[in-house]
Amino acid sequence: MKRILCLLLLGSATICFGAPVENEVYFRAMKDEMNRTLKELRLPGEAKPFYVAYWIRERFQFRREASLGVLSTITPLEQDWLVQGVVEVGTEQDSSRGFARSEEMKIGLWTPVSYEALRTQLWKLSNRLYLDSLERYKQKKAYLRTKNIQNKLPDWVPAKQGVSIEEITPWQQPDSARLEAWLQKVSAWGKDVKFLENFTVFGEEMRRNDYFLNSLGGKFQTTLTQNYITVSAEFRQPDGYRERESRQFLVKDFSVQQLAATEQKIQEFFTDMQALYGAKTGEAYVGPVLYKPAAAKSFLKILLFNELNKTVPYFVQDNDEDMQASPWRKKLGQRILSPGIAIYDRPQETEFEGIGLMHWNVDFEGVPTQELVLVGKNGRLEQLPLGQRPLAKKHASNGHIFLLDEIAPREGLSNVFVEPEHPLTDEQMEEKLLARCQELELEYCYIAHTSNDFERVYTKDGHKERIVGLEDANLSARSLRDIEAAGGSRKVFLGWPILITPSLLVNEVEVLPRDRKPGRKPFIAKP
Amino acid sequence: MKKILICSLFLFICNLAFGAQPNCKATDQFPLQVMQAELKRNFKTLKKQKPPIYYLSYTYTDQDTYSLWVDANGIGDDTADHTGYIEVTARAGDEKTDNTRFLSNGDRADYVYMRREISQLNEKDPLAFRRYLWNATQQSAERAQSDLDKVKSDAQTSAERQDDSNDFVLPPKSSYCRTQEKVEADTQRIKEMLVRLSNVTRGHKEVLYSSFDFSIRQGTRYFVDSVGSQIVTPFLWMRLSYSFEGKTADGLELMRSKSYDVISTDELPDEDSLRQDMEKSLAELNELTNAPEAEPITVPTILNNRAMAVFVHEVLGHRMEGHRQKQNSFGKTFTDKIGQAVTVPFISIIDDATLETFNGKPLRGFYEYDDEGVKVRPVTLIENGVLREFLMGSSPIKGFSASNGHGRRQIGNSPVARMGVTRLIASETVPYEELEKQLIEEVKRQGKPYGYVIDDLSGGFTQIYSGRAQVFKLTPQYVYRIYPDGRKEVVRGADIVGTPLVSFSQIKAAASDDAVFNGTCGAESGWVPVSAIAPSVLLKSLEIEKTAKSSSKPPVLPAPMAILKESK
Repeated sequence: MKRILCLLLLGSATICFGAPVENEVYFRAMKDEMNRTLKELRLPGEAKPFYVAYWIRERFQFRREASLGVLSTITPLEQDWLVQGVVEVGTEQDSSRGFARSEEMKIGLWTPVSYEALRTQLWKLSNRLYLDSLERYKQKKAYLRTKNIQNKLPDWVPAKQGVSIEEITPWQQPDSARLEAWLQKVSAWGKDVKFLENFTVFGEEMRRNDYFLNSLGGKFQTTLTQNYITVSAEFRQPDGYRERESRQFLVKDFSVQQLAATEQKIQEFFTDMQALYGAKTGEAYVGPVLYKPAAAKSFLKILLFNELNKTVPYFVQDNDEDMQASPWRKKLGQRILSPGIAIYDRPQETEFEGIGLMHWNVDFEGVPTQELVLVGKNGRLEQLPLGQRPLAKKHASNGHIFLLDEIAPREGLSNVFVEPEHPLTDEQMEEKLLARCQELELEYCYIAHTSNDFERVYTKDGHKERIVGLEDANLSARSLRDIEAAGGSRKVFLGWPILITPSLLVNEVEVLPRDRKPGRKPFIAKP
Repeated sequence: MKKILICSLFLFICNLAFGAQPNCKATDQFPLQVMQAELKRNFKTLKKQKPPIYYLSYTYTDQDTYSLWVDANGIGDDTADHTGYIEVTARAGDEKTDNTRFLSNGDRADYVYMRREISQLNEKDPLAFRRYLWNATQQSAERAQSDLDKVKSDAQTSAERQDDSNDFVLPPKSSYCRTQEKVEADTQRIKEMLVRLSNVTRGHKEVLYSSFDFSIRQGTRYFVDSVGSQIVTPFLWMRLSYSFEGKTADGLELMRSKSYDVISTDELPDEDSLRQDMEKSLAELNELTNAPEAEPITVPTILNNRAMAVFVHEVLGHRMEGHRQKQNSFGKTFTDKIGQAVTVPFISIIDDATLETFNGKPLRGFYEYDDEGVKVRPVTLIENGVLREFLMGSSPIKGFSASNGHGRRQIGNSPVARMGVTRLIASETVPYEELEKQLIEEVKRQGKPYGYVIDDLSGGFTQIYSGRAQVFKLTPQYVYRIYPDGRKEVVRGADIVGTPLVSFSQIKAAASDDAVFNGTCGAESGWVPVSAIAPSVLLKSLEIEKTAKSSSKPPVLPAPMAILKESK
């Protein structure tokens, strides 16, 4: 997609490339209702709004699925439009911000598309948000009194606002006939694998366009398209255990070339299924594990990234502590990772090896985004995602307020890159694993393809054997400092945040058998 | 929905082919051929298992849907979908005791197992379809056996059942095939029309929220079972509707809405007629906004025809559903009243789902075979005031051992006895004007300050579970008082409440103005299309309560459509 960006820092020089066209109707509707909200939305004798932000999300989802040669659908073509926002009352020093009730209010309203319809939904939204803010404002004051908090930090540390307008071309539905024919063809391959009970393949394209405006002048318009093919297989092991395996392949688009390239990966998937069928069940193990990228993604998310957000705690009704706030905020400057692997968050990165990334030039507080060095090469936690609500006295936003759960903007990450200083090839990683095995005098050690797909590598001759029924267990933050080496070949994993990671060799991991029960054999043979 | 059955009759439109006659051969239908073959193969083995699967059925529903949502000059939803649903029913044990029995706590396992959604069957590749059926059968049979264990364990630890009838009666073998052409609606025209019409709320400060909708659901249902039935039937529902909502300063929520039943989009009212209807609804909403609030009172009341139709459905109809006479968890208002008078002698109530239309209007509750493969027949629930029958699915009850074709369900749910087309017939009627005169006479006779006319009901609930008062509470959308001098006054915030036996004994007279209410009713087996037909009826007495109000204020600022005069 041709990308044209216009990045403007308010109060400084404008940086513009090309002439992107902003959605006039959307921004006009947001601006007009925002002006009305700021000027007129006020209950007699109550605080008035001091900050308003709106965003409109357009979502187009195209999905086609086939199973064993037959087309099926889970969702029809989806197109929808959602309006969301923030209305805060009070002042920058003392406002409704940063206070959460036990049930945090989150609103998103589906909307028809016209100037009038958007105004109507923004009006509904503003009214509800305003009333909620008034309530929170009062509850927050009561909370501060009760807890005897007198010298709290201000609620808002102003930062320069930015404008970023990316050109958005109209969404075109992919060639459904081509994709459907291909899905039917490749899903029918599942019929040739005798032990498979089901084999499903689906292709999905997601287009998301975001339009943001706040009352300080911050503004952005951005777009993201992602395509992927997902395969999943179901079968019963000869001893009755049910297995469900799936794999996702990111593609640039559903062109003939991309689909043809995916076929090879699907064949590899079948090879792996063949290896899993009838594979031995594993036993408890403690030792080195080589995490392939998909398994490394789970490892890093569980141990680090799932909690590296919501950095600045809220005051929470009836609690002394915000249990959802990131525990990592207390570890700034400490060594949290083995040296030699740096981790960055790059909101403005648009793609990695042809795969579209979430790119944000301006965050959901209107602040230009910055690249963060989360973990330096020395393994220390260097930076945290921050917005305009301060964590400490000296505070500046680094433009990292995002929609973590699609509704509430909080401190978060975008595109996380794991970058080893001295990356090893796949062969070198396996050699290092075996060397470590020999050193520990283990009969075998493990390669984890995903968090529950393990391959045993025998120390004696290096031969490999698929093992089922295992999972890594008792992982702790300590394991992050146990990373021995990292690979050079990185893969992209969608989700929040998007993670680009190589393989990781972890020195010591507990691998335990999963608790599961076998099912009965089918009453009747497969047709 | 454990203790209170909430059944809201949303105004939906029903459209089914007229003059339903078989027009095809079931065995020529590709899905049915495959289903029949796979069912035979599976049942042969399953019936020998321990415990045996003694009954097996497959349903394949091939469905097209279209939905459109418009508001404030814009389109929000414009979605078409085509999906096929495979569902398998397996019954383990025997007819006396099987896996489908309600447990003593009122719960029951969902025994219709939906396995797959398919968008397009490939006639060249029946093997894939067979694999889906096989897989679904396997899982359904496993679940049936496991649920039977729960039923048996529950029977051992629970008090004796008051009605120890069998859990199932095998349906008779049926063969029927009718298909119909897919209706291609001119959705573009409707879309453009609704966008234009959605501007009708401009300048109306009383309207806070509005919605303009159009939907179509159509397709074919294929059914086979181990008895040997082979049934193919079409379905088609089409609806255009709008609603306007408001709220008074004291928190009372108000609504005016209307919907239209059609067979094709050509039958929809033209744009001018729709606009006139909408303007009338807006005027009524404005009238309600400024109307005085109702006070609790017991007075003579007319339920206008469509409101009476809803009243019959909610207050009486649900209590006539067979399974409610069987389970201890229900109130069983009518269980032991067969042969007894339950209302006045000039009233009869039947449920006749074989009716396709009434006075030219399509009936949404029409169907030919129920979801258990039983041909539906008219059921006389009340004859000249005397209770005669119940609505029956394939779960027998004391005194009623066979289904009358009312085992119904939404896709993905397990069937129970449900209504189809419920009709109140009065053998003595008067013109509507006379009914109003009788209302005034009754008001004077009782010395009441006024009587009520309930013009439109939006829904409500009726409590049918034991341990709770067997009461109903219905929410009218539009009501007015009639004073002894004939003056009429619209009021807001009036709910009607009461108990079924008392209410139906209060019927004094009926008009000759039968009308249809088409809707969708929600209960244990999901949402099913229904119709109700009734004339306007005068009740000697009905209790009016104040409607509950919202605790939230109306919006601080007026809606943008109220202040935007022209299209921007």
